[in-house]
Parts: sequence; C-alpha cells; structure tokens
Amino acid sequence: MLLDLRDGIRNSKWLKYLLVTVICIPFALFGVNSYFNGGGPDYAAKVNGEKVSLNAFNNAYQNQRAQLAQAFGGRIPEGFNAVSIVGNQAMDSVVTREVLRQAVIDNGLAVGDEDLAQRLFEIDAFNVDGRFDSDRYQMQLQSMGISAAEFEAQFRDDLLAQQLRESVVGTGFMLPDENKAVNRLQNQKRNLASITLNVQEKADAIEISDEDVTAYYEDNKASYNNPEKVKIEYIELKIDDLKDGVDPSESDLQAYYDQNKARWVAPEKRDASHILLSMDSDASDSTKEDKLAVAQGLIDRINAGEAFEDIAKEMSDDTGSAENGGSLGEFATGVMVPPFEEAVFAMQVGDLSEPVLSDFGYHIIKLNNIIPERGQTFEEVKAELDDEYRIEKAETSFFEVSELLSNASYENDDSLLPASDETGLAIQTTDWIDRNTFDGVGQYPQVVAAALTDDVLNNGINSEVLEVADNHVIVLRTLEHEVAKPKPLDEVRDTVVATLQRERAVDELNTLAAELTKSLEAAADPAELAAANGAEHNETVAVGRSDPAADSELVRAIFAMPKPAAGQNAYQTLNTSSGDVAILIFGGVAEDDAAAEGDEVIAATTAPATSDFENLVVTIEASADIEKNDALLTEQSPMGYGGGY
Amino acid sequence: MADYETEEQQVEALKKWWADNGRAVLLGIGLGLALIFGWRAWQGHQLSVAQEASGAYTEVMASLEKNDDGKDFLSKIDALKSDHGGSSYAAMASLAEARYHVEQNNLEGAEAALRWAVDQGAFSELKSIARMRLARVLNAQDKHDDALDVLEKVSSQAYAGQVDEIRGDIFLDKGDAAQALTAYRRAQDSGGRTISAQTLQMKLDDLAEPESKIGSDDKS
Repeated sequence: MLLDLRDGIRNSKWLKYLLVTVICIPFALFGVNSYFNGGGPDYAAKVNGEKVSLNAFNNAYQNQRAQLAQAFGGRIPEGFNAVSIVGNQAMDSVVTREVLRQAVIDNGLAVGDEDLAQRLFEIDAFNVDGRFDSDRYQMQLQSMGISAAEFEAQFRDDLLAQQLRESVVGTGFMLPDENKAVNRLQNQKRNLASITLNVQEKADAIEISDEDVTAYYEDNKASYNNPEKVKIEYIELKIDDLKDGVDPSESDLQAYYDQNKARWVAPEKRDASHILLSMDSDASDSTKEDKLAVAQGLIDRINAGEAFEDIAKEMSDDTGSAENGGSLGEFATGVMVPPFEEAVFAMQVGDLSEPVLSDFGYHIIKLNNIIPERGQTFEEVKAELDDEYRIEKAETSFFEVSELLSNASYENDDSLLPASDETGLAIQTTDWIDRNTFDGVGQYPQVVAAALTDDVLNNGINSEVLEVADNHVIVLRTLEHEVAKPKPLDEVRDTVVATLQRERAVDELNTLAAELTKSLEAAADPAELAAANGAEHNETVAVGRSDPAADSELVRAIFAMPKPAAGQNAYQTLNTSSGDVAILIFGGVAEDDAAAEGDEVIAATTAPATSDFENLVVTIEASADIEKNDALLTEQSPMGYGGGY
Repeated sequence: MADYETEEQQVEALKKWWADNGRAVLLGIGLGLALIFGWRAWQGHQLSVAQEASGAYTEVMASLEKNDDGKDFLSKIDALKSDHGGSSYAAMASLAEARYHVEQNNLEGAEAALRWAVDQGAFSELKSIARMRLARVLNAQDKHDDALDVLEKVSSQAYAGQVDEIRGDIFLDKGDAAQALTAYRRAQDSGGRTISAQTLQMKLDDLAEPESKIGSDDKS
C-alpha cells in the first residue's frame, strides 16, 4: 500500500501539492500563533513546571488596572508607568495563586463535591429569589466566558486556599501578658516640658547685606526660573458641547422609550395551572380522539365540582407540575409553546380552557391570576430618557467628529484650518501657558508637553489628537515659545532676603538652644531661662501618644527619646516643621494608675494572624521554582493587554 | 537488523521475534496497564480520604459555635487526630485547638495542641507557625529558655522578623533589656513582615538608650 502511495505521488502532480499543503497547515497555524504572542512563551509564568495561562494573567491585569484607575479617581494619569507597576502586581497575584494552589494539593487538602455544591449555592450571583438557579448559573458563567467545569475547578482551588488561609489567620491569638505589654506601651504617658524659640521673631531682626543677597541669588538662580512657556492655537472637542447640540423631539423620545421598554416595564405575566395528557406529536387520529375524550371527561369532572388540583395530581402526565396541583407559576409571553400561550393569554381569571392541542399533547388549562404590566410610564421617565438620549447621540457624534478631526489634522499637518473647516469647530488660542498652569486647556499636562515636542515646536506640525480626559480631545499648534529663564533679582529680592533671614535665624537658634540646654543641665529654672531669652516656656504635662491637646511633633519626638535616669531630665533640641526650635525636657515616664489597674482585667484575645499567613506564602514561594514571562512586564509588551483605554 | 533479501524473509524474522519475545511484550503491556489503573485507583482513594478529612475538619470548626463548653469541639478534634492523624487537616485543627485553650486561659492545653502540630502535624510549612505560637505560650508560663529553644528551630527566613520580635519579648520578660533591644533591632532590620511595624517601633523606642552624651548641639 505504501508502495502504491509512493508511485502515486511520484506520478501525480496534484497529489504532490495536496500533500505539501497538508503538511504546511500546522506550520502555518503555528506561525500565526507565535506571531500573536510575539514569539514569546505562551504562558504568563511557570510554577514548578506548571503553566499559569496568559488568560489568567490578563484577568488579573485588568482587575489591578481597574483598581488603580479607581484609586486615581477613574483615570490613570499619563506618564504613570502603569504597565510595569500593574503588570508586576498582576504577575505576583497569579503566581501566589498558583503557588497556593499547588501547596494545598501537595498537602492533601481537598473539598468534597457536596461541600463544593453547598458553597456554590451560597453565591448570591447565582441565586434567584434566594435560591440557587441553574439557568442563572449557566448564564453568569457564559458572560464570564468560562465553562462550568473550569469555574468549578477554580472555585475549588479558591475554597482550598481560603481554608488554608483561615486556618492560619483565624487561629491567631494574643496572650494576656502580651496584651498587657502592648497596652502599657500604648497608654504610656511621658512628662513633657518645652522651651520654644520663635524663628520668625529672630529672622525679622536679622539684617541681610546686598552682597549676600546677590551672592545667594547667583548661586541659586535655577530655583528662581520662569518656566518654559508657550502660546498655542487649538481645536477642542468635548462631549458636553455636543450634548447641548442634541435636541430630541417628543417622538424621538417616545421611540427611544419603546425600543428600550424592557428596562422600565415588566411585561404582563400570567399564573396558570395545567393538566397534560401527553401524546406524540405524530400520534394517529384515533389516539387523538381517545385522548380528547379523556380530556373532555376530566373537564366534566371539574365542572361537576372536583378540584382541578386533585385531578392534576392524579392524571397529569407533566409530573413536575402535577405534584403542585398542575401549577406552572408565573410566566410572560415567549416562554410556553405557541398554542398553549395563545390559549392562556386569551383566558379570563378563573376560566377553565377547552382541551388545547400542542406538540406535547392535550392541555386542560386553568388561569389563576393575571399580573399586569408594571413599571414606569413614558411621562415618568421622560427626564431620564432625555438625558440618556442626548448622551447616546452625543457619544456617536463625538466618535464621528473626533475621527474627522484626527484625519484632517493629520493629512494637513501644517495648519488647523482644514480640520476646522471639516469639523466646523472653531480654532481657539491661549495666552502664555506653562507646566504650572492650572486653568483652561493649559491645565492638562499633555497639552503643554505636546506643544513642546520637537515636531510641534520646531517643525511646525500639528500635534496628535490628545485625549485629555474621557470624551474630551484637543489638537494643537504652537504659536510662540519662550525658554525658561531666571527671574530678575529685583523680582525675587524679598524672597531671597526672607530665605536668608530664616536660614541664619535657625542657625542662631540652634546655637542658643545648645547653650540653654547646658544651663538646664546645670539645673537652671526653665521658666526663668525662657523669659530671659524671649522664649516661650510650656509647663510639664503628661502626654500620651495620641494626645489631641499636645503638639504631635513634640509628642513623636519625646516618645522616641531614651528615658532619663530616675529623678533626672533628658533634653533634646528639635527643629520643628514650622522652623521654630524647641528644647524638649523629658521628665521621665509618668506612672499611670489607670493603666496599672487595667492590667488585672486583661484577658487573652483572638488576633488575626495576617503576618503569619503572609510569611507562610513567602516561605512556600521561596521553595518553589518560579519562572515569570518577563515580556509581559515591559512597556513594549507584545500582548497589548487589550482595553488599553 | 541486518538487511533481508525479500519480504518473506522479513516476515519470517518478525514472526520469530514475536515467538521469542511476545510473552514478555504482553506481560509488559499488562503490567503497564495495571500500574496506570492501580495508580488512578490509588489517587482516587487518596482524594476520597482527603475529602473525608476535609469534611471532618469543617465539622470541627463548625462545632466551635456550639454552646457546650467546647466539649463537642474537643472530642471532634480528638477523633480527627486519631482517624486522620496523617492529614494536614489534623495539624490545622491543632492550631484552632490551641487558640481555643488560650482563650480559656488553659496554657498547658494550648502548649500540648501546638506541640502536637510541631511533632506530629503533617503540614510541614505550618510547623514554623506552630513553633512561634508555642514559644509564646511557653514564655507566658515563664519557661523562657524552652521558648528560646523552640524558636531556634524556625528555619524559614520569611519568619525572621517575627521570630526576633518574639525573642525580644522573651528577653524583656526575663529582665534582659539589652538583649531584648538587640533582638527587636534585628526584627526591624530583617525586612520580614512582623505583626505590626508600629508596635515593634514602640517596643524599640521604649528601650532606647541614651547616646554617650545627648547631642545638645545636634542640629538634625
């Protein structure tokens, strides 16, 4: 046979091509695949040889990114290196997840199918009216793009990791002595007195010579720069402007309401019961007649006073509903088979139908209740509709116009006029703007940055279309430019003088503080010492760590000071953030009766042992063989991550 | 194989080979299949045992909610340890048992539970955690040196910070402030996660030593 094939191939040109083509297919597919992946590995990481999928990484990436965006108030600032930060976070989270997954399996943790089902039932998203609903479950999984088997495997992994976490974090405790020690530290009070030397008073009295001012100015010119600035012309497109241009008529809104009615109105539902006499859809005429006769007989019995429910239990072939006296519950149109639905929706409450023939057989139907259409009328939601309608229309035209703007400003990149003509948007101009401008279009850092790029600044080319905020774009040209240059001395003289005065005042106060400390150590009276030097003296108070009445800077400092020997004081000079110089007089730890009394009632407590678990994870990770796909963590990622906006 | 002149010769050679080795090949295949199925059956068995232990553990934890002075909880833990002593779940339950005893102020009970997790627990990574807790419980009973010995055996670098903080607490209880300060400093320098960086700082600050002379001309 093989010989025949060989001869056949040798003699037939077509067979030869066919064979080559067949062989090529896998290569072609492989090639395409590696093109998509930029030729990099097809996994996000490998943990002990097991792969973490790119998909898992992408999901983690999107989650982290969304969180970051939220932290920034909805939008990650441009220039923020999100790919590497978010990428690293996402990578860590998927690796940890995989490490934990393997650790729980290696250590023989397992969740039984029943437990798994039990926990699954508890998830709100899969419940309808407080009960697990399998349709809802399937639907939710579908929207996540994941199969039930995959989801359950993941859910199982999560449950196990959670079980492990809980077994460590949830079993932490604090022993009575430990609680006591921490409480004592927490509630400790220290005797604090202080002498404060005011910097401003000192500074005001210091004369600064012109030579000094000039010298300082020359040395520090760079910090007195006027920043680089530009004047630009620009075209701006904002969705808000477009929104005002949309003016929907009454009939537009009515049509919009009708189209989206399901959002405001729940359709009429009917609550019915039935008795089914089942029959194949291709049953013979004689069978049909027999069944019809049976059905008629049942109707007669009901009319003669027997309860519909009893007969349904006894006779109905729809066993599911028969148990409930034939009840099918509430349903809207589009749920039941057409002949059945037509019959039900033509009945009055309390009616009993004639036998109705459907693909299932003969139904005897009783209509129990009509739940009328419910919801908000057009008039009620009109204001809301109006707003939504405007946004929807404005969004559509925003994308159209921004497309036009982008094309026109790119194709004629030496002027904004064509773009303005094309879009009907006016060209506007700014006064000087720089990186510190906080209003107008200058407030967007992208605008100044774009105006200063080589192409725009030196080659006179239109900028790209800058998306400065959601649904808000700008394209610009630089009109005038001024490089950064130092402010003239006269303009900044006062600032320089103040800076120098302050610097020298702080120096002098520190010297003074050192002298005063020596006097204090030689047992001088703090109050007298302060008065003699024009300083402020604060009497001794016992301060706590979070004493609202005390200066938090001084409190922080005194609680970091070494304790003085019994009956003595310790001293420390503190340069405060206001510039004042304070001498702290630490008169020892204040014995607090309340704290000591509290000791007696201190008991053991539970304490979440989060650090135990975190260090456990670090330990397990340290012994795992982890290989990360570094290509995912660089700005030039081949993945693109989708959803970059 | 050598070259054969005709196809008949090849067929003959194959037949001969089969006659010589056929039994061995079949035996090999049979053994291989038995191994595969045996392995799978073994794994299935392992899984069902693990699931059983998991169920028992879940019940142990649920019985904590009962208002019966922990009777049910403790007896269920004993059962778990005797039925599934080799399972990680027994070790996990020991941690819960220890916490229960600590809350009841029964330090001996807590010590025994943690020792069980250290000596007999199956989950090796949990042992470091059990040792740290054991050391604290020993310290609370003033068995300072036993506590320090137990800490010696916590090997993972990740716990270095936590371990040194516990060492500091023990030294402080022993009245050795200098060694406590050294231990706390090491805990802070380890870079590992400790229970609370703020509490550790507080402990450190409280032991701060005066420098040779307080720098009154210190401008910082």
